[in-house]
Amino acid sequence: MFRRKTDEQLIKSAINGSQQAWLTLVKRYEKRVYNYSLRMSGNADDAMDILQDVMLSVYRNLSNYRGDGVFVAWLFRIASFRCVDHFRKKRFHQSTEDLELMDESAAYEPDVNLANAQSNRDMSDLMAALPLEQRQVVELKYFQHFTFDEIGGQLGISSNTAKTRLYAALGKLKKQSQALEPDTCQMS
Amino acid sequence: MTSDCNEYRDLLPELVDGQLSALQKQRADQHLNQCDDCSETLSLLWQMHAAASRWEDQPIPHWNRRRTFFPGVSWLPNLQWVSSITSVIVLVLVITQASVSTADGLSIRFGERSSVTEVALAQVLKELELRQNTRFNQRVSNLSSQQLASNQLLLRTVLEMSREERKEELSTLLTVWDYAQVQRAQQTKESISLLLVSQLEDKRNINQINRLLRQASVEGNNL
Repeated sequence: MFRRKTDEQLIKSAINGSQQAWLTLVKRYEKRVYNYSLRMSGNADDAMDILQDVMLSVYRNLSNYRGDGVFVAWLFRIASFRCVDHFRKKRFHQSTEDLELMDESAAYEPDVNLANAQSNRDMSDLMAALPLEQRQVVELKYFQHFTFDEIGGQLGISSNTAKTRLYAALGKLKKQSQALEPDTCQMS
Repeated sequence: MTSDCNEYRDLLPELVDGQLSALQKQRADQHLNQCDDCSETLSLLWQMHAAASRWEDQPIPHWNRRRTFFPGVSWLPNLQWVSSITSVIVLVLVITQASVSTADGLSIRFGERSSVTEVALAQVLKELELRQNTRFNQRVSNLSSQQLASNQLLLRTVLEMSREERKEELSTLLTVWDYAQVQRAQQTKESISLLLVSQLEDKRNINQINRLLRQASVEGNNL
């Protein structure tokens, strides 16, 4: 019987020069990172760019991985950084300098709300309506299933700040839903 | 929004994740029954959870991982062509009816029926066996003579060493004997010397006694 090698074993082999070990590790996580990038960017081409960028960055920094935590957490920490870099370069929806200001009036407004989001397209539209910092928290919490402490560690913020960003995202999506249902808003 | 809202709002994501204890869940439920704001937040969290779970993972477009990560080694031959190239080589060998033979009589011919019959094959095998047996016997004979020579050499060496040891022992014995003789001669010399000293002293005493006796007889005569 062939036993599946652990992430740490593959990393050790890759550091020692095994190309095959590194490619095995890439294949293990590429789909997860690609779909992460897809939700963050909203389109396949940029998702592919981010995926390659993330994996190259992980490969170049592999010797810095201390092995004292879970590899996937370290991977998504790098993914978060690379994603911000990508947005800064491409200026998708707003630059990182604008993240703190969060000009909501300039944000994208989808024609779908959280309650009736069914498809990947709907979800991508909802994510695109959020500022990057809120989108990252929603992504790491509801798609990658990290705890708030882990999210805080990955984004370099406290767990309370991560929660605040999640509630801010929910508030924005709630406003979005109310805007799509003018009758309900008037009634309330 | 009540003053308890901040406390319970922090617990709502854990409630959705099912990570609250029974007591915490009971208290949260009590609060939620009284607070519309928190109930609405919880509803949004559930909606987010449900929307995320509906996401269907998309397959990745084809990408050349090896070229992405190891561009410097792209000149290496692609292994997937090795089997194809091998097939083509074998095909050419068959078409050209090539043959390969070795010095031992092994012959491989491509593209034609084998001319080797069972009898011929048995003959070749018999010859090979005979040749192998001859080589084996010759090797055994060589090894035996080498072993014999080695044994003789070993015996000679042992004998020589034994002689040397005896010589050394005899030499040691003679040395000890010489030393004992010297010791004994020294002791005898000392004894003789002591005896001579003693005799000289005796002689001196006798002379003195004689002188005293003569002196006494002279004094007696005078009286």
